[in-house]
Amino acid sequence: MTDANATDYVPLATARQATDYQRDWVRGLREQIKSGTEFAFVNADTPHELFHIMGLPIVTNQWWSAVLSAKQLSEYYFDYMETLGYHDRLAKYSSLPLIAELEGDRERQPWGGLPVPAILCARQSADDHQRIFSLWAKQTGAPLFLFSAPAVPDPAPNWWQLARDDWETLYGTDRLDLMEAELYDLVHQLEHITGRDFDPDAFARYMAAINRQEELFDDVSQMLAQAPRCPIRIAEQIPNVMIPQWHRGSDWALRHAEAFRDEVKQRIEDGVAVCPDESIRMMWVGAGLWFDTSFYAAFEESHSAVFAWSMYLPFAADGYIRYDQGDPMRSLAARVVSMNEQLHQPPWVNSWLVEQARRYRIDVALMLIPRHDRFSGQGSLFSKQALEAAGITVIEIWSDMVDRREWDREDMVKRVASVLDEVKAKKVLT
Amino acid sequence: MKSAQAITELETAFANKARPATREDKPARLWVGCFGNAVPDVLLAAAGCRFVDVKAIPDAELNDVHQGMARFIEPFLDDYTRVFLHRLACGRLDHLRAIVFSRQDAAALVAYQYALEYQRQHQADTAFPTLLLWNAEQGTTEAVMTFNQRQASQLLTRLAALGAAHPSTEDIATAIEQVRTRHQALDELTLVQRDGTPRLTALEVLRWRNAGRYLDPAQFSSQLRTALSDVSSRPARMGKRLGLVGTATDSEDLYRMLDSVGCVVADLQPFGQAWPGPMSESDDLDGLLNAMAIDPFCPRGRSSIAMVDALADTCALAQCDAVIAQMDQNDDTFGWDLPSLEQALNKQGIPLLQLGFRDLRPDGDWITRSRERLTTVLGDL
Repeated sequence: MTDANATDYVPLATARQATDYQRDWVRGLREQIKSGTEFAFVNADTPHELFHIMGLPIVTNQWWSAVLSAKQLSEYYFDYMETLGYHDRLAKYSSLPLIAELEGDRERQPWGGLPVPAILCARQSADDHQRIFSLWAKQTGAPLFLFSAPAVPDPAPNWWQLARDDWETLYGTDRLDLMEAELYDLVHQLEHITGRDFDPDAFARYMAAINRQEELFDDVSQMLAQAPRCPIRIAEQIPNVMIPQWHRGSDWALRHAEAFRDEVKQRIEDGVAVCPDESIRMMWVGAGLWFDTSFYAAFEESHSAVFAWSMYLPFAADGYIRYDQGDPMRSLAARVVSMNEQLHQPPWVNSWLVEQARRYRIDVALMLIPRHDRFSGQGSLFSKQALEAAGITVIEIWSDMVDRREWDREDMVKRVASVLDEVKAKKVLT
Repeated sequence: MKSAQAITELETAFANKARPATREDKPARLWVGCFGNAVPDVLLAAAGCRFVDVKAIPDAELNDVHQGMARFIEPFLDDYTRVFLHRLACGRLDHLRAIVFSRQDAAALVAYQYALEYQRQHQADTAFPTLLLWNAEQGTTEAVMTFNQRQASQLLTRLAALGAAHPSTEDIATAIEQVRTRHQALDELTLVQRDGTPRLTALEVLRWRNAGRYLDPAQFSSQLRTALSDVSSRPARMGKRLGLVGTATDSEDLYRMLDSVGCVVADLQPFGQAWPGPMSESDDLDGLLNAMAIDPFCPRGRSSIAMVDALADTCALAQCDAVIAQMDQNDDTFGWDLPSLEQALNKQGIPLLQLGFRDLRPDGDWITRSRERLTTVLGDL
């Protein structure tokens, strides 16, 4: 058994591989575009599968937002946003790439920025998504495909238990019919853009490959939940999950998911732990803190407290695995029709978080609540109350996932440390 | 009925928000609350329901606080969502058998979701009205039309399960005719408001229009027409012609302030002429649903650019000298339209004056500051 000290933590090889792959992919995309390849700019909760199967590369809005933020550009762009007349209480996460586009200096952006997309795509899950994408369409002249997003009239609390197989019951025939029809509308538009015909058989195989990929992530999540001590940091979970997710179902994504699983498995077998004397297990609730991801390691040495959970890995399984029941397109509709809502709408989000916290033996939840991104923040207090009722200490973090202007790390570390002191003292007593 | 009496009845209906004064109606008809624009009150009328708005807030209930509900309400929720949830938990809406929430209204959707979850967690000690979602979508495709038709059918089924009538095609045609009459009366109100010689205050128009959310359509149409019958004999109001845009407000103090600085001739916030929305020419439900699905003022329309153009064109039609924009403290939607709206208005030679964020009930300082600013700016036009 080889225990590592928190300070001696060895990063996962697969995390670096994923990041390198994505950087090279974007660079390669730019080169391809120069020679006539087109790409799509899409929101995270849209059916990426259709773009992939039609051979149209995609860049995801929220991923690009995270990249811009990680490059410490958000402060500049959000100041610029206000000079354009957009007030500072508008949602930031989904709009940072738009502001960068409106600002126009591509050299300021990572890897030379993004060219004009061939198509834009969003779901109207929140009322501002249509606006952000309409402004992008107006700015670039790119066509915009909008998916309807009817709400969920009767959300079943145990959605993750129904979603893989019994999705027709869970999401409702009306909503699935509408979503499926709009998926075919998008297929027709992509056929026009790419000049290719949609191949239903290839699509069925591709959808099965995605389920295999998400099953691999499900295995990893199971292993991490059951490991005696947490073997990897969530800052490495995230790229290992999300970058393959942006390329889901591809040969690379499957290979990478397998490699990630194998690396985690090996670490657990070797007894590797982020904190050898792990005493507090934490979950990070909400989107990533993209401008300060090292915060996730801030309490390892001081409190032997490790972030064992972030939503991206377990959601890859519960949010994505949809067995096709003989109808791959309808199963895609089931995957997409409530993708975002499952992470924000009560009772879906609060029930799921409690189930996850129990699986991962969580002691403390840090809950990111953005003040000015209502769609992302809604349901937070239902989640807080539910987690507390399950015996978990909850710390509210009122901050934005990409806007660092209101983030005071020193103060936040003090606040969290104080709570962790109390939790640790209680654990010693019990 | 004389004009003065009709005006009193309209203003009383708006002030009372159809509460105790009309409660005696309860045993005879199924009372249904409506949260947000775009609830299909034709269906409620056809099913024989008595329907009333629950979004606008009676002054006496503005500060209701229910400690149990307060634990779940984040500070960024829409004020109308927050106050509704407290009112609901305090039992202020117990006289309603059901409440229909509009998917087209962001405040309504969150109110529905939170109320539903609160009810699920507290079933033992709550007896909320039945919570129903009007889930219709905007769009023109066959899939959207089919979806909306199913929503209509399901709403009627749910209402019937509560004891409402299951309306026939003829019942629906009759209800459409009644509601069309209300639309026509409200169109007359809009025309009077944007007349070349304004004679009504913005506050009067706010009260008269929104009284229609609490009164039977036929009764309301009659009262409104009677109220309008004497308007031409009123003295002309002087001042710059103003448009009003932004997020929903039923603040009478805000309207008094606007009346003190000019004449509102186009009221385009959600409690203004955006309600009651489009009306179809045909007498069948599909025609009505199709008309509702292409409402240019719907915040969930397929194109915010089209909505901005519709707002600017309406202000131009009303010959506005200036348009005033205001937003609630947690706006996350209208702010995306503001720069485009300003450009579209400027193209028509109309300046946009921004009052910025306001509270649900703006305090005296905000009102005074806004009045002073508007007085100065409008004086320079």
